[in-house]
Amino acid sequence: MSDGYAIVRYTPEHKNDVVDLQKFLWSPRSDLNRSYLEWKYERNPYLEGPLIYLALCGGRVVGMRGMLGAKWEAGTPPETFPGICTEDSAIHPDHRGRRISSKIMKTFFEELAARGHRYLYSLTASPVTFMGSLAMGWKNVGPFGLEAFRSKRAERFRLLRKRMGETRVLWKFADRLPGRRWATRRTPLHELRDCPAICRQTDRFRVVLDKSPRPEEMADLVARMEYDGRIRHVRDREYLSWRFLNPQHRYLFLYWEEKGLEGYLVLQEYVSEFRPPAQVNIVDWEGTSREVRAGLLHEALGLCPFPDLNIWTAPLSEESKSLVEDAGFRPVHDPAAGTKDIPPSLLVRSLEAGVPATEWALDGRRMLDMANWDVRMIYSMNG
Amino acid sequence: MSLREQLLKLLKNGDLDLPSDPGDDTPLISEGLVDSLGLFNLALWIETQIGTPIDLTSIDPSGEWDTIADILAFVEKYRK
Repeated sequence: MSDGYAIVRYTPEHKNDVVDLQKFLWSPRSDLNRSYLEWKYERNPYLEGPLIYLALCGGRVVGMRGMLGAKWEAGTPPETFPGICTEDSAIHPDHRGRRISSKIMKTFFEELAARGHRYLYSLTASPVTFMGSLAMGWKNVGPFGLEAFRSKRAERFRLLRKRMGETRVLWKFADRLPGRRWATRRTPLHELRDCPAICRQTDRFRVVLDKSPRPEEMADLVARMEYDGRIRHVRDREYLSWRFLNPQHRYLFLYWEEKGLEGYLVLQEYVSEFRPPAQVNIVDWEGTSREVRAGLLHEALGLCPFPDLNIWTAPLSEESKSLVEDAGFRPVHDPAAGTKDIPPSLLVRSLEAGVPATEWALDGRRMLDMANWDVRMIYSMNG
Repeated sequence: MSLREQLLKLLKNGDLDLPSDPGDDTPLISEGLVDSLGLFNLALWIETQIGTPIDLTSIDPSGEWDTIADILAFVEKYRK
């Protein structure tokens, strides 16, 4: 620690300091940060205890990086692989530009390689972290294909606000537009209606809206459905029981019921004041037929005029992509815009020295080919 | 102002642990002298200089932009 920083493994005595430090990243609320830390790192099903490294300066926590346990599967029949995803890079503003992040990451690389891990994954890199990661040997697999459905009213408001923001004199008033409260209202999902509720019912099926997940039924449905062998996260009862308890997010579930569960669509919104207040994401979407998938999407869009409804389209089948496009979703990012508009993307890094990136693979599937991934927003902490 | 002087100004603008006069062959990225934010700003600067967006799927910053000489050579090679 010749530079004054010590890199140490997290222990419970650091919890209060981490909760405070994360007021720069997670949320300004200590109670929310504490419950998020406990859910995400203490109760993660795939690691025994939090895998977090901290930078200490004078005994104070001034930087951190967390690693989240995951369980990937690939191939037919599927084989499972333990995975580690990078998360939560936070450096206190007074200590930025001191190479703390790279020191923490180097410590992680050594420890995880010694534990026998072959790869690291990143599904949540910000544009700045994205560039820093490339410099540390990560490879960009590709963008998740973020697309958004924006109501005409929300689009008009967004455009007007943007134009005012770009115009001298008027920019000061852009935040005072009368529609601001509506267009940026928080928690649009939970203003919807009482749950559970039946959205649609026929002799053959019904669509139910609920605030509670059904981990067992959802896992059974995933297991029943045909699997093409692309790399994806395991969605079993254990994972789904844990996943939807994220205290930083709220979820709403649409279920398509016949004799059993034939499909589901999961909507998610953010709780933290640091995240887009009016944004709703479709984080998972399954259905045994086109009718089921189309019906669930139709119901989701009909729930309320979401100002900003988002989905990752890269993993979708051509059929589902056309459903999304026909519904009015459009790409958010220009994939050829370069650094000015870096889209949310999947990054991978090998922990083994000397293996060319072209040979990075799970179950023989090349990792740098996005076509080999079925990567949904629910696998990422953005969803 | 020469391209090298502009680049040095950009690198020194950030709150980084750079030597006062880094030589053309000083490893900036592989040695961690440029942090993530510095690298992001460097990428924006390079795009402005070459007049076209960088291909984010193939770029290897520590291999292609590690030193001042590397960065200037990259700009010269791809400048439109």
